[in-house]
Formats: sequence, C-alpha cells, structure tokens
Amino acid sequence: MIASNSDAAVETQNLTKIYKDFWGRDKVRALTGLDLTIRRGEVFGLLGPNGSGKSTTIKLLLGLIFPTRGSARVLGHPAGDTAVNEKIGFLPEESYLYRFLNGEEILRFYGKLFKIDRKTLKRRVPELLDTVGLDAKSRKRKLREYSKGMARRIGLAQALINNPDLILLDEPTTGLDPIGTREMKDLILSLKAQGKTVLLCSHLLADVQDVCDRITILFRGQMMELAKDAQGRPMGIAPVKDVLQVKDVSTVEARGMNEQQMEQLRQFIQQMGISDANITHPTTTLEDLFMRIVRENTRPGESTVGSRQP
Amino acid sequence: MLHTLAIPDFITQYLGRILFVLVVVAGLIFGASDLARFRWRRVWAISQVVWIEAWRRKIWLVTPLAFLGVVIISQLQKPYDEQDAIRQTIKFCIFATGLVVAMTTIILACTNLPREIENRVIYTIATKPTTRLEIVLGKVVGFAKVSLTILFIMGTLAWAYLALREANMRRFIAERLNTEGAVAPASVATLKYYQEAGLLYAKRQEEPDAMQILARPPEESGMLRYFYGNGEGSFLMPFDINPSAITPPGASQPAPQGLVVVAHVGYLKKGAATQPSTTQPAAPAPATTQVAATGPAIVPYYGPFIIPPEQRQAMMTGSTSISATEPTISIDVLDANHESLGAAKPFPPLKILELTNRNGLSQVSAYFPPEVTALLKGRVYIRVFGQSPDTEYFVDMQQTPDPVRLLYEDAPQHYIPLAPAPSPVNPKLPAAPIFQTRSGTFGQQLRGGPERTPVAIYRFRAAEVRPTDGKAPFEFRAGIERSGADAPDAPGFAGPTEVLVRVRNRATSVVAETIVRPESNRTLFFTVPADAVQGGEFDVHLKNLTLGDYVGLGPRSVVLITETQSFAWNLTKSMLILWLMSILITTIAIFTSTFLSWPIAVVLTMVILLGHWGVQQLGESIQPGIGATVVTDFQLKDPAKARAVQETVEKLSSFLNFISTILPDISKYAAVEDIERGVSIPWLKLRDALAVTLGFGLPLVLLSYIFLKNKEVAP
Repeated sequence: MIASNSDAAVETQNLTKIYKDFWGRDKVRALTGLDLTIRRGEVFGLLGPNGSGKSTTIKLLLGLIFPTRGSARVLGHPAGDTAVNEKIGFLPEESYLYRFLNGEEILRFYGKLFKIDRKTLKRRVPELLDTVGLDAKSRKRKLREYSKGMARRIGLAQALINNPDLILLDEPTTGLDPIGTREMKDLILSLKAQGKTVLLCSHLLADVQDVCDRITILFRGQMMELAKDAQGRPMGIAPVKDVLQVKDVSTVEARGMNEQQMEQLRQFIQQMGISDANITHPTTTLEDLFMRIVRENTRPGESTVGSRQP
Repeated sequence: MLHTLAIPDFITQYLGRILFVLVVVAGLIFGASDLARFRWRRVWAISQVVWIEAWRRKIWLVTPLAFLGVVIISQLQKPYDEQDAIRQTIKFCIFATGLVVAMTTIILACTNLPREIENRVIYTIATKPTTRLEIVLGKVVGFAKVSLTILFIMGTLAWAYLALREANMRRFIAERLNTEGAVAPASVATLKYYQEAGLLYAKRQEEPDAMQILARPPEESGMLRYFYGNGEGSFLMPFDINPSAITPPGASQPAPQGLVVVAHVGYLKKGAATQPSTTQPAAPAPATTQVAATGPAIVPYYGPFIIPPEQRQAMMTGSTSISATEPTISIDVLDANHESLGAAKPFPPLKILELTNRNGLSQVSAYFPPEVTALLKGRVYIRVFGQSPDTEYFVDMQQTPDPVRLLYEDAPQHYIPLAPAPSPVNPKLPAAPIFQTRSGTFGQQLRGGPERTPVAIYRFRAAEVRPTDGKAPFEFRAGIERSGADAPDAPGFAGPTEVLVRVRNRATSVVAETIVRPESNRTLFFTVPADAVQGGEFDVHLKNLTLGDYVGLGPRSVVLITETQSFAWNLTKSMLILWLMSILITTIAIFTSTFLSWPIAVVLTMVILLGHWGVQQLGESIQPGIGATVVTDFQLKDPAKARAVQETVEKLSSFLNFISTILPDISKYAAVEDIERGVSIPWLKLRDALAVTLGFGLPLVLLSYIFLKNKEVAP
C-alpha cells in the first residue's frame, strides 16, 4: 500500500496485471511494475501502441479489474473505491452506452447515479449536450442511430456529467472528424484551465503532443525510458516540450520575405560556416486546410456534425 | 434420510434457515461499507433502464402471442359443462401467464449482466459511484417491473377474455333453458344456478377440519368408532418417528429388532345378538331443504376399481386359504404420502392377526421387521384394516384413546412405547385415529345402499358462518362410480345417485337434513337452516342411499360458503403470486449469471427453480431403501458389487434429498388451484409465496452482490 500524496491525482506503485486462463495459469502479462504519479491539474499522456497496457492501466485505476501485484491510489483513495467515483469522469475507448436510450435520457440516467439534485441535472444536461456539439434533434435520437462521432460526443458528455476532478480519456479522438478532434483538444485544454486533472490515453501522437503537459510511453506493459535526469538516471515520465525538443536544429520564422532576400540569407548562413541550411516556405497542415474549408461552409449556429436538413 | 451422510438431524431440519442466517450475516459484514453508501435513487435509476430496455425491445409482444395460444386451446377443450369450460379457461390463462412471465424473466435476467459485461456497458455503470449491491438490486427491481408489466397485460387480457366467454356461456345457458327439451331435467337446477350466480366468482369457503368415514355415525355420547370389514374400512394412527431415538448405541439402523405394534380392536358380526344398543338415535325432525334434484345427465365414470369384495379380500391378503374362525385384521405402515412401506407380521407360530375376544376389545400384537423399520422417518401412519366380511370392527376411544401402540425393544424383553403424534387441536393429547374406506378414482368410496353402508363425517371447527336469509350455503362436489346401468332407459338403472346430507350442530345438537342428487364431478349447491351451523362447530354427515353407486369423496368435497368476492380481485391475487415467483426467478437468474455464461446460467436457473419440485415428484423413488431395490432390479449376484451399487445409490438419493431441502419450494406459488375452483385465494397463500421469495431471494441477492464485487467486469 502506498502512502497518500495530496499533490498526486493518481499514484501507482509496482502496478502489475497478469491475465490468467480458466485454470489459473498465466496467460498474458499486460502490465509490469508500473510506477506512475500524475499531479493534480495536469494533462498527462499515456502513450503506447495497441496492446501496450494503456487500457489495462485505466481499468486498474477504475477498479474494473484487480491488480495481480502492486497498488494504486486515485484522488487519495484506493483504486476501485466507489466513493471516489463521485469525482471521476471516464470516457472508454468506445462509447459503451445503452443504445436504446436517447442522448438526453442517457445523461439523465448517469446523472442520477451521482449526488446531483434534480434541478442541477435538468440544467446540466442541455449544457453538456451543447458543449459536445449535439443539436436539439440529435439529442432526441436513440443512441443506436448515432454515428460513431456522435456516440463519442455523448460518451464525453456522460464523462463530464458530474463535473469531475479527474477525467480519464481512453482514445478520446477515435472516430472523430478533424473538427471533432480539434474540439476535443480544445475541451481538454479548457478542462486543464479549470484546474482538472486529465489522463489522456492514446496512440495518436498528435493529440498528445498538442495538449499534454507530461507523457509516458508504455510498450509491452512496461514504461519506456524517455530521458535522463540531472544525475543521469533514466526517466519514464517527462514534460512533452523537453522530450520533443530537437536541440541541434534551429528554425527561423519570418513573414514577407521574397526570393532575393531568401538567397541573401542563405549566403549569410553559409558565410557563418553552416553548409546544410534549408530555407523554404512552410506548408500549412492538412488539418488546418480542412478546418478552414469546413468553417467557410458552415452557416452561423449550425452544427458541423451530421447531415444538413433539406 | 441423511444418516448416510452423517449430518445431524437438527442441521438437516433447519438447513435452509441456517444457510439464510449465514448468508445474510456474511452479506452484512462484507457489504457494510456499500450498505452505508446505499441510495434507492441509483437502484431506481438502474431499474428504470432495465424496464425501458425491455419495453423498447418489444418484449411485451410475447403477451398477445401467448394469449392467442390460450384462446385457441380453450376453444379446443372438451369440458363437462359451462362451469368446467370456464374453469379450464381460467387454468389455461393462469398457466400461460405463469409460463410467459417465467420464461421471459429467465431469459432476460440470465442474459442481462453477461451481455452488459460482454458489450462493456458495465464500464460506464461500475465507474460511477454505484455499488455492486445497487447494481444487483437495480436489476432485480427492474425485472420485477418488467414482469409486473407482463402480468398486467396478461391479466387484463385474461379478465377480458373470461368475461366475454362467461357472458356467452350465460346467454347459451339461457337459450337452452328457454328451449323445451334442450336440458335434461336433472341439470335444470344446476344450470339455473349458473345463470343466476354467474360462472366467474371467488367464494370464501370454510373447509372441513377433518374427514372420517365410519360404518355408523358416532353415538351422541359414546366413544365407540366403527369401521367395516371386508377390506373396506380401516383406521390410521399417526406417529412421528425419529430414527436416532430408536437406534440403540452401536446399531447400524433404527430398531434392528423391529418394532412391535399392538392394536386394540373389537368386532360385531352381522346379525349377532351382541349388536350394540348404541345405534344411531332417531334424529330430531329435520329442517329439510332439498335442492338440486338432479339425475345423471352426464356419464359417471365406470372405474376399474369396483371389484367384488371377495376378490378384493383375496388380492389384499394374497391368499384365499386362510381359515380363520374369528374375524381378522391386517396392519401395515404408510409414509407421509400414504404410500405403504410394509406390513406387520404376526408373531410365530401365528400366521394371521385374529380378534379372539368375542365380547369386547381384543389386543392384537404383531411386529414390523427390520427392513420395514429402516424406512421409518418423520410422519408415518399405522393402518389397521378390517378383513373379514359381514363384520363391523370398532375401537373404543374411552378405553384405549390410542388404539394402536408402537413399542421399541431397547434391551431384551424391555419395550418402550413410542408416543403417537400429537393432536393438531390439542398437542397435549394424542392425535385421534383417522377412519377411512378404500380409495377409488375420485377419492374414498362411499358405498351406497339402504342399509349397512358407511357414513362420511366432515368436521368443521371454528368455522366462520355468514348465513344469508337464514340459510347457510354449502358446495358439494364428488365423483360417482356406478356398478349398475347409467342410462335412464337402460335395464338395471337404479335412478340418480341420492346422498343424504345431515348437518349436526355439535354445540346445540340442532340437526338439519336434506337429500341431494349430485352429478359426477359437477358442483352442487345446497343450503341448510343457519341454526344447524351457528357457532361454527358442526359436522356434516353424508350417506349414499343408492345401491350400486359409489360416491368418491375427498377431504374438501363439502365446503361452507361464507362470502362471495369479485373474480377480478381474485385474479389480481393470482397475478401477485406469479409476480412473487418471477422475483424469485430474477434473483436466481442474476445470481447464476454473475459467475456463468448466459446459456449455462439459464440451465442452472431452471435446475435451482425446479430442483425441489423434481425431488418431490420422484417421491419414494429416492427414499431410503432405493439402493436395495436397484440391486434387486438389476439382479446383482456378486455381494461386493451389490453392496457398492446399493451404497452409491443410497448416497446419491441422500444427496438429492439434501439438496432439495435448500432449494425453493415452488409449490408455494399456488396461483391456479383456488381461482380455478372459484375459491377466494387466502392471504395465507400470498404470505407463503412471499416467504419463499424473501427467504430464498434475499440470500441470493447478497450472494450475487458478493460475487459481482469480486468479479472483474472488464473482459
């Protein structure tokens, strides 16, 4: 059992999960000796390829499965303690929801599982549906009629119904279009701004890069080395900006430079003794291009989700 | 029963209660923290989702389909008459409702949790502040709502269909009554009663406390009880046997030397000078109310059981060569279900049990051999048969209040009497002997004729009497077996069966008499002046007056009607019983689905649900002694093999009996029997059903919670 650290939203110590077969024999070693600390108020990225143990870690933190060894604490309580679930929001990797309820019904149902009074719930449900971008018509449709993106949005709404302190997002952008992805990232940043802690679990590196403060990478159930500390010891967790910074390459940004000025700059750099400088016009990202086209073709107040009414 | 497993009787007797307490205590300890967090709001929210899912998946569509089946079957039925048609339809409706609700509940409840775990919907529930106890209870309440909805729909359909059918029947009856010659004269009274009183009703009844069939009515103050010989009459003395109490130290079985039985019986030969002077006194002038002067409009059953007395005597004794000069008796022992376990044998050199005292009671001794005593456990009855023809046997309740005694030899020539079972009325007194006649197709046969015929006595105790217009209404239903011709124009036709009904108030000695003409298996209504039943302490005597006819009687053939209630209310009570059953099914189904895949959970649910009933149906097949029967049937000669097979079968039988004691008794969900008979379902039956649901359902809910709490719900 680990001592509670009031500054930590999540702490694990030697967290290990081995799946057994019917006869109790070891079948799969999904997670091995994970030591993890997520600070309150940060956005933490848990990276790794498929099957690396990301989802297993989240399930262990939520008490959906039990550790083979080690322990974990969430918001100061042992993992799986139902009392702490009052302060947790969870978006699973797919939206596992009751498909015969509509958007409003599902949020009201999940709201009733928390200590949310009727009046607050009545106000919060439409607010959340607005936040995740489900219009009035969508919220009356049954979930089985939802597209994947819409299901993802309602899934996110149910994760936020209790205004949680800690949000666990498992592959949150899966199934979302670029706009949805951008909105999701914006939402994560706004949650951070509200002082919430976010554990983001993804194999889409761009998502993590854009929003996370710190990251760790899991591979075959183990935490990989990302950097070394001042004493030269390997570190499994590191700030994103530190690990992504390429220290032996520099970029210069300038606006309104013509071809002649670019040639002069190239000659100047060569005179400085740098022979392999590459000076060119940057390209925009495909995401930015897509965003611009959609924005230009969307009427004011219209949702970007779903088909247009005839 | 369980001595082969060496489990103390106390534990087997109270096993269900012990397990109940253990599971509840374990559940409370294990789930103390979750109980502290318990919120009905969450339970209700989960239950609502269960209900909405079932509704939106159109589960209710099964109800009109099931009802269509009821309508088709009820149209194909072949009833005795209009009332029988309604009764059969009621039975079909309740049966179909029970079947639909049970099957729907089993399938929905068994598949719900495994499906939510498989499609991972449980993730979003279990990661909320919902305890596993709330999840289990939410499911139970949700399926209780689903079954209530199904029952409401089925109940409404049943009521509407029955009301429509009844209206049609009454119109049909009216048409027949108005058409000359369409109704046999004997049936007119019955049909008029149906037309006036209707066919859908729920009557509150007072049932008799006991039924005795004697050779003659007991004297006003005398204590002699008579029964006929010729294998017709007998009496039973109940005993409660505790095998350990009759097993000497070191013995391998109860009463290894057998049990001695002593009977005190007297006799009177036909036409003997010693004919007692205590014959039935002349009855006071009866207040006769004759009703239902009915003839045999429907065909009575010609059963195979009407055999000449001599032939029956020979069959029972297994020999016709006994040359007794004095009347003889036979003694055997019956189990709680009145199945014979074995006969008592005379002490050598005697070969028969003879009554040697011509002027009073004879003491007759015999013994039950060890192979019979090994089978004795719990309630057993010692039965004494009068064997000789033209003889009336009697016991003297004053001289020998317990006319049969059982003695156990605990040391050589040292006998200890076993106390007879206590009287249900006054436990300080021994239970009175039960007098009866031989059984036929419809119950105990009341032989008919002008003289020397038995009398059936129904004893009512503390009956609630609510006379209307100074009269107390009774209902009488019996089957009639006839040895003569049936058709009125056939040669030998003796006329309709006539039964003399004599109601005697034990408190005031007021007597009322009437003669009724019952039709076979058709309810007959008659009234007597209220004075005869006032106070609720009265006897109803029945005497069959028709030679050659046998009236088949059961313990409830005569009932006093105290009140008529609405059929709809009775139907609601029946639906409530089914609802309680469906809740039990839900708890079993959810329990099994917490640790099994749904197909196996369905099978196990059925086994748990029907296990107790199944063992009951096996009856004596799995009672002690079955091992020896199997060895005999398979003709195993090798002693080692025979012993191995016998012990294995005995242990298996003990195990089955053991398991059945902890499984729910679904016979307590008696939703059909009363409503079909037109009897108001007593609250006691709802209480019994509730007790089974709570007694079995609560521990299962707690076990489901414990299992689910320790289950990894993420696949």
